[in-house]
Amino acid sequence: MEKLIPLVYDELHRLAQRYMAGERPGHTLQTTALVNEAYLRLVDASHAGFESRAHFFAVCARVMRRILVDWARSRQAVKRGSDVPALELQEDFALSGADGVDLVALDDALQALGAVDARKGNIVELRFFGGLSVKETADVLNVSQETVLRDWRLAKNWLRREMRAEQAHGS
Amino acid sequence: MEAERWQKLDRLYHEALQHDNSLRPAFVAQACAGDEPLRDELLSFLAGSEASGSFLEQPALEVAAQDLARSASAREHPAVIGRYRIVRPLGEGGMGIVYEAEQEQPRRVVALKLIRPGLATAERLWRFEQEGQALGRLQHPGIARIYEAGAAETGFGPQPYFAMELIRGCPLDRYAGANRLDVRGRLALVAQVCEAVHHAHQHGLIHRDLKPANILVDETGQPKIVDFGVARVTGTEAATTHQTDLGQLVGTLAYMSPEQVMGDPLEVDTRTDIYSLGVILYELLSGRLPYTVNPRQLPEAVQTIRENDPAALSSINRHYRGDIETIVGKALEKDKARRYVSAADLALDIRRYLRDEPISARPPSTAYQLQKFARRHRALVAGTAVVFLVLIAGIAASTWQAIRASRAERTAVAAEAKAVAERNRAVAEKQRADEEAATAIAISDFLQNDLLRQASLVEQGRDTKPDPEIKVRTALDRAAARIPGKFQGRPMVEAAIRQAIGTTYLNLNLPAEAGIQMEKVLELRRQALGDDHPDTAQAMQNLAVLYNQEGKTAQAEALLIKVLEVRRRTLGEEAPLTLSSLSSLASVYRTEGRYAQAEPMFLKAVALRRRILGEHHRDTGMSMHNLAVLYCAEGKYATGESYETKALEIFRAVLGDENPVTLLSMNNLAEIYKGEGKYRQAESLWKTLLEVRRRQLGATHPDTTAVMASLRSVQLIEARSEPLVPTRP
Repeated sequence: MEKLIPLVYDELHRLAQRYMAGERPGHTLQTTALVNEAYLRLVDASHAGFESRAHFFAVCARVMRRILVDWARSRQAVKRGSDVPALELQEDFALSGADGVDLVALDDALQALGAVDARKGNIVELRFFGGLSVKETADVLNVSQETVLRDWRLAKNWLRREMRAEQAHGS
Repeated sequence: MEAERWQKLDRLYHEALQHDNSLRPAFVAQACAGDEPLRDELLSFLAGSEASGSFLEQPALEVAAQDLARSASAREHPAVIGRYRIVRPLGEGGMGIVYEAEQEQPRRVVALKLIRPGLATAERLWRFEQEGQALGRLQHPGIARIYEAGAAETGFGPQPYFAMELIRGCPLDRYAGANRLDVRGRLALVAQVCEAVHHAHQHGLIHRDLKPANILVDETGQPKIVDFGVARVTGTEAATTHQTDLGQLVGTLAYMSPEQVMGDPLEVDTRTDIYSLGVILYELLSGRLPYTVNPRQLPEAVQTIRENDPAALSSINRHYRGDIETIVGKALEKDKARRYVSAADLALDIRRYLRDEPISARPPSTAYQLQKFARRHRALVAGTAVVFLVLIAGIAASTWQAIRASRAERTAVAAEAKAVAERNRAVAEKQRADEEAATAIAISDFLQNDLLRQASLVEQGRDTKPDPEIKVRTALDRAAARIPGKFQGRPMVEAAIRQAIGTTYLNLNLPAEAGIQMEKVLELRRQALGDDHPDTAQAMQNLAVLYNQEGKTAQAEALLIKVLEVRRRTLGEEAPLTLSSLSSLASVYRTEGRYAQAEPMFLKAVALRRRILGEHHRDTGMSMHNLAVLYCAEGKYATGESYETKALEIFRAVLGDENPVTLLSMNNLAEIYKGEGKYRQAESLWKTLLEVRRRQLGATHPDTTAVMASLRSVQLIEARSEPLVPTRP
């Protein structure tokens, strides 16, 4: 985990810089490449007792989740700390892609999902945090790709509803 | 939510998705009958699956990165910095953010540039303010004033800033485009910029980051350079930001000089700015940058800037051929020593061009272009060097000849113009300079594009199979084929090129191909210069010698009679060139066996050359040798021997013992000895000759073996003339 943190942070800043330069990185590949790199570095270094590559991916996705959620949490703390309203520059960076996701809220919702349906929780963790494709996810969990797709669809729905409810509740 | 209920929901959700949209409500109603909360929940999921869109489809890492990017771009702006009240942000540059701000005393609006605080030690801040004061002393209408460099206390440490003249205008390139400036307008604008840059240079300030974005044109049309000297003072010059700020580098790299991209600050001087001005000029005139460089591939970009030549301006727009191209080319020289010495010189040349006066810059010499060519194609050149060298030497010489020829043409033109109107002198002068430059350009263009470039694998690959072993013969054939139509209105240039190619064919022992070129040379010169012009006569003479070698003696004779007549009339009976034609004609007669006609001519040539050129002159010797050959052909060996002996003596003294002509004469004398039955003398000469040939050419060279055969033949004769078996007493 400690070894993975700098890797993730470096990649995070590198990606952020590319977004700021108005560039849209290739979809999902970044995360996959990062995880692969981490696999090569960590597995070799420590023989960390991963039973398989699949197992490693699962662990990686979990670690990524923890790192990124912690990072998001710390940023929220900083934001709350300053009252000064941010004034946008005229020339704002055109950010492409999806709306932002509140990683902290997602983490909470994902926890709840895992409690009622562990497999769906794992699928979300592998796909969203681990950056794995449907096929890779199916391989790691040893289920069919159809199952992954079905679960993924419902899980996303459920998480979204849960997060909306939580947001409405909180404010 | 209990597990069973969730599992039921999961199952129903997927079953519902199996049904068509139209049948789905009925399925849901039936499946959830009696359980309204379950039904509502299922419906909400089903509704959501259409709308969930991109949610979670992007990996968390990227979502986080976007969040980071978004927050980094939203920044807080201070209300006051030092004595300045912030009005609004204007933009953000490589070194920091720029605000429009108001100052109380004196009351004015300024552009306030906040420098990223990174130089916050007291000593460096002091230096910053000192150098800021130096910048403040720079006053020129073409340079944005710097009012103050200081540091404001912000509560988070000192914030360095520049307060400078606020220019309401738009960047140079956009201004030129928006106002549809023509070429002259654009040139005049850049000349103004050059003059401003020169002013700063005289005050010891180098900009180091000149680019259109740093040159704003105000509403009166006055270009104003911003950030003069700022790069150095703040240490944010482009070269130092390589790794850290790619986005910034995009707009800068293309304007950086070769010495700048190498990152050696000691190499950067005022001429770096001159290079950037050259890039700006190139861009304004052609609408594109001289090089396409990608800052993400820095090593390649650096190499491009250091080694590649930009596309010729004239290849983008023929209008730029000549002076404009020469001016821009000189500013863009890779070697700063070859650039304009000062920005003022660049401005001066631009203004000269605008006034139709001759510019000071000269197109790169053929020799220099050859050097560059050789540098770029080092390996190839090494491979083909020997043969190409012959050609290059010929072309280099003919470049000069063509310039001389066109100068002669112009002398006539200029003289006429002088008679018409003396005041047109400047025009004639300009025309002269133009024409010389154009001649040199035309020749070096052809040299590079049509001939030498064939040695480049890349160029060959365009329409033919790459051939690293391309034969000079092939290159010459192709080049010759490309000549027609290429030199419209420049007959002298075409003649010079054809002359060089013809000579090379001759050196390659291809007299027929050489003849085609030389015939064309003669035709061109006849038309352009007339029959009596010395260059026309020389072309006739050359062609006649070639015809004679090929055995076309009748044609050779006709030409030589004509040349001799012209030279006698224009140069005089005793001029060296007249004598040369006389000798040539005599040689033709000798070849034809008309010894009676040849002998008096050769005798005359010997006598006149002896008197005019002196006894010890190569040509005098040559005439004697020719006469000796004639006498031997007639069987008059004794007379022949005396002339050849004299000739050999002259050649040895004038040309040296091992010169080809000396050796030829030696061989001839040996043949004469042999013909006279003086075998020992013949043997002795041939032995000497064989020794030299072996050393020069090797034992198996045909010329060596020919000497060996001659030597063997006299040795055999001598052996036979001696008794085979000595008789015992």
